[in-house]
Amino acid sequence: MAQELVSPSTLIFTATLLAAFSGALLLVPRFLNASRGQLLATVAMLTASVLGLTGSVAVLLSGRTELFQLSWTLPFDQPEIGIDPLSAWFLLPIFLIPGCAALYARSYWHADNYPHNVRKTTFFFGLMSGFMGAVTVARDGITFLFAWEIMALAAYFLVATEDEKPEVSQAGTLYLITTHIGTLGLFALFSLLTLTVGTWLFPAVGSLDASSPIASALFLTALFGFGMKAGIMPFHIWLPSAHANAPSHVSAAMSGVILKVGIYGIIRTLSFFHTIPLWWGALVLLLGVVSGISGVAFAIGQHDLKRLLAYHSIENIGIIFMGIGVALIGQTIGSHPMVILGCAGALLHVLNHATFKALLFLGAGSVIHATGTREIDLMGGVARRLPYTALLFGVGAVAICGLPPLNGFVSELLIYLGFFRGIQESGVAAAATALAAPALAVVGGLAVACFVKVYGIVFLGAPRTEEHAAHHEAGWQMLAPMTVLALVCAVIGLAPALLGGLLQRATLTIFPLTAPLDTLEQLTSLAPLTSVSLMGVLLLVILGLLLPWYLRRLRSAPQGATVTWGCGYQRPVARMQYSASSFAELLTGLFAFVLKPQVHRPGVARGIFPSVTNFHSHVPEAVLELIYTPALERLYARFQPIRHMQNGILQQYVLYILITLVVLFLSDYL
Amino acid sequence: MSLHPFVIELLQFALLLGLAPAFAGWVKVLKCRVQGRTAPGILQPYRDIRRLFGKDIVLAENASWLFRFTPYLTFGVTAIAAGIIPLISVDLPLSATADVIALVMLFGIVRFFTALAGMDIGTAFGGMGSSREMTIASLAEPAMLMAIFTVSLASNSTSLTQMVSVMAHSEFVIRPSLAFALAAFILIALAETGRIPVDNPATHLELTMIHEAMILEYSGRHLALIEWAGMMKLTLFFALGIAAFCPWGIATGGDTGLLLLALVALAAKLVVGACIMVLIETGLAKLRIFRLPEFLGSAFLLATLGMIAFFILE
Repeated sequence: MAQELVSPSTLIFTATLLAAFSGALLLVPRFLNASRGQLLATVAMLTASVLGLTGSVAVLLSGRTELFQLSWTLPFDQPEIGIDPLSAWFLLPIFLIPGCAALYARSYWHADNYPHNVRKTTFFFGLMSGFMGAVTVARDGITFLFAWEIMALAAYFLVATEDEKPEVSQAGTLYLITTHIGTLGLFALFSLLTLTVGTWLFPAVGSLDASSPIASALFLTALFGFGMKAGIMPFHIWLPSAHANAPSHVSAAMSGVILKVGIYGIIRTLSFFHTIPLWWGALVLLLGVVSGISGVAFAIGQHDLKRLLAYHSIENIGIIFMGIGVALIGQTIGSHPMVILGCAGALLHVLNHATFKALLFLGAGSVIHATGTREIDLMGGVARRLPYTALLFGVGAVAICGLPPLNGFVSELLIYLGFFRGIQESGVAAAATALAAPALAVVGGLAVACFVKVYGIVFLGAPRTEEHAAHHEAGWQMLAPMTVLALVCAVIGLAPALLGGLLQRATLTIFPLTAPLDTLEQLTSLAPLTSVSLMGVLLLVILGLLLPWYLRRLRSAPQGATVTWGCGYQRPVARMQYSASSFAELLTGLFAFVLKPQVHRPGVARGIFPSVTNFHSHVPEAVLELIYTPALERLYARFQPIRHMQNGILQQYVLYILITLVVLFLSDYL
Repeated sequence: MSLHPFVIELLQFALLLGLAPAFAGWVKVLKCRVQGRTAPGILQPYRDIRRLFGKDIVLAENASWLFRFTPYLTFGVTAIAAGIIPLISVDLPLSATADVIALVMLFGIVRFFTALAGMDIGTAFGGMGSSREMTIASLAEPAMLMAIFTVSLASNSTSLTQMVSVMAHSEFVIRPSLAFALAAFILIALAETGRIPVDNPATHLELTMIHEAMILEYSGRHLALIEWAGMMKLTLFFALGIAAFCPWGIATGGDTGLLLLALVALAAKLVVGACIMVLIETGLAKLRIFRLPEFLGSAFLLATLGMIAFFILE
């Protein structure tokens, strides 16, 4: 066998560094003008993508695991980095999405249009992408936390790109606070881990006993710390406003990938343990169900395009959690099919959600660019002016709804089949999965309704306002990355069997099996992947057969255009169209007990010539506004007396430090 | 004499495409008789379709390619479903694709695009129809999935072919899980095919229509394709119910005699099923749209109960 020229791990590490410092030259203003610097950064990001993807696929194909020691004199142990199929799987979206988003930004956030913040945005975008990769290759707590914190801070500067707007700066602050609370959880996690195993290096897969109380503490802190980043339901409060206010290519990378880094953290932590208790799986499954249903319910009530997509991220993170939950329950009761189906479904959904959500955010960016607003109710008829964007967004919408023949369907199918295996077991495992299966079905049904709303209101019909009618189609630099993502969605949807082996390898890195896998328990025989392909192809063939007929008819048919039926009313105007709020009214009504929609309705004025009136409805971020904020305010009031300590006098702060030091010395002496 | 599976497949396609209008017509005739009205004749749907194909289409001003493409997509996807649900034989070349979850999602695609077409024309009616249809569907689809899931638990597979084979060869025992699932399935089938008490296929009263509001602007051959696909969908839901709950009599091979027998059994089951539906439609009034969540919620609960009954009792 021929020697390989460059090892896959070298490719991955090079790509990570290249991405991380792709925008570094932009920081020297004299050296490069902004536009050329952005071009250079984009080229670097694209190169990093290609190198990194090649390396990750090579690792996944060979299934090998490698470890490297860094010679670095830190006061902790020798830092280590490494590659295994699990890292490689998460590196796929980490290299794919930022590469696409960087090319998109070249047109969307061009240096000529945003001269005062393009340098910072481009630099931090590269830094964030590179250090997301670094998080997944870290093999000890210190390196992990370093990479994690740089990634989280870079993301803050990206969210706060336009921090001159109060809304944006608020969203940034909320993100900064929550991400640090999450990091606090991670400090606790890694300190506890070091206490348990005696070193900062990650323990080997399946080496810790999960039944001890300290293991439960580890699990809960990981769930809290990483769940904060992943945006799981009670900890999601930063997510909608951060995603909505960041530039769209940043939202694509954040929603597509940063959330997945949180998922990676949870999966990595779980892989340390063996004999996992049942309640771990049940808790993860429950969190998944809560996130899934409430995420999509909140999404239905939104009328800000990007906020709506952000809530769908919460929903999809919920779906991923459901898959992990099934795998954990399977691990506990020793059901290999459940482990493989659940975990493969979750991992595939990680990649799938990254691609279609990034596609949708980029599409939303093009729409916002063209219409000048994020408000869905002001748009309409965008497909007429932006036909390609409309088509690509449509692909993303079908994919996120989990409809065949695209990729969202495949991962949801795997998780369904995991549930199916679970119900056939007995006891608590069966009960938990039996209750989760309908939840996933509800999530799917509501997601379809929500995307009919988005697509129908934004792209179809007629423009609702003259001012926000779409003007121009996006340029090739915006369309090309979206096309790539749409193609990935289609390929995974049509030929999922291609990924079967890779998914199984990644799954077995996390949950190594005690017994050798027999042929009946391979992923490809557990899930009807080939028949999914067959159905997809059949669908395309039938549509392909119908298309010539359609096109011939399109050319030859007489074009009798007329106004639509309006109960005899002859002059319908664009404002009479259904709006996003009216479309969602029935469903938000059903979920009013969670959503707490606020309706402002002053009533119709009476008289022969009624005066102007208005109607306004809004679904607030209920968890933040109705739970966290009041609780924190009460806490603030309760702790008011202690605030005298923090009075802004520097000398006193120095005194505090002195006292602390003295106490520490004394405690050591005693 | 034995027929090749491909021949049976083609036969099944032809049967559904050709006889779905007759079945829909017969249901209409039966309904008229029960309600004491004069019936239009069993062949009326064929005449309607022919008439519509002969007419020019009139498009709304805002209609885009999506509006014009949706009828073809609806028809094509329904035809695929017609090919994969086992009607008279389980030995079909396409039956490998007959995963029940995939099948539910296939109907999901049709609904997705029909609802979008309703919004494409930019009228209040289209949006209203789409909104109502999607609200109902988002409640009905999970219930449907749960009902079918319960049946597949009983036969240990989500492949429809496998389910039919297992059910057809097992002895008849009343299983509580299947009874719950059947009750749920009937409620959902009424909702999915737009029958009373959920929707009234015969009404065009603006305030009450659901499915019809979405397709209000369709005319000519577009309408013909949608109507035809609708009749096939009605027949397919009966076929799905028969396949999932009482597949007895279905042929497992290509033997002509058995196929004929299966055809007779299918016809008899369709007759019984249609009678039940007509009785439900005649006996009940259409529900207010605000009551529908309760109706579909009970279907969902019944299906979930069926699933729970499965793992408690079986």
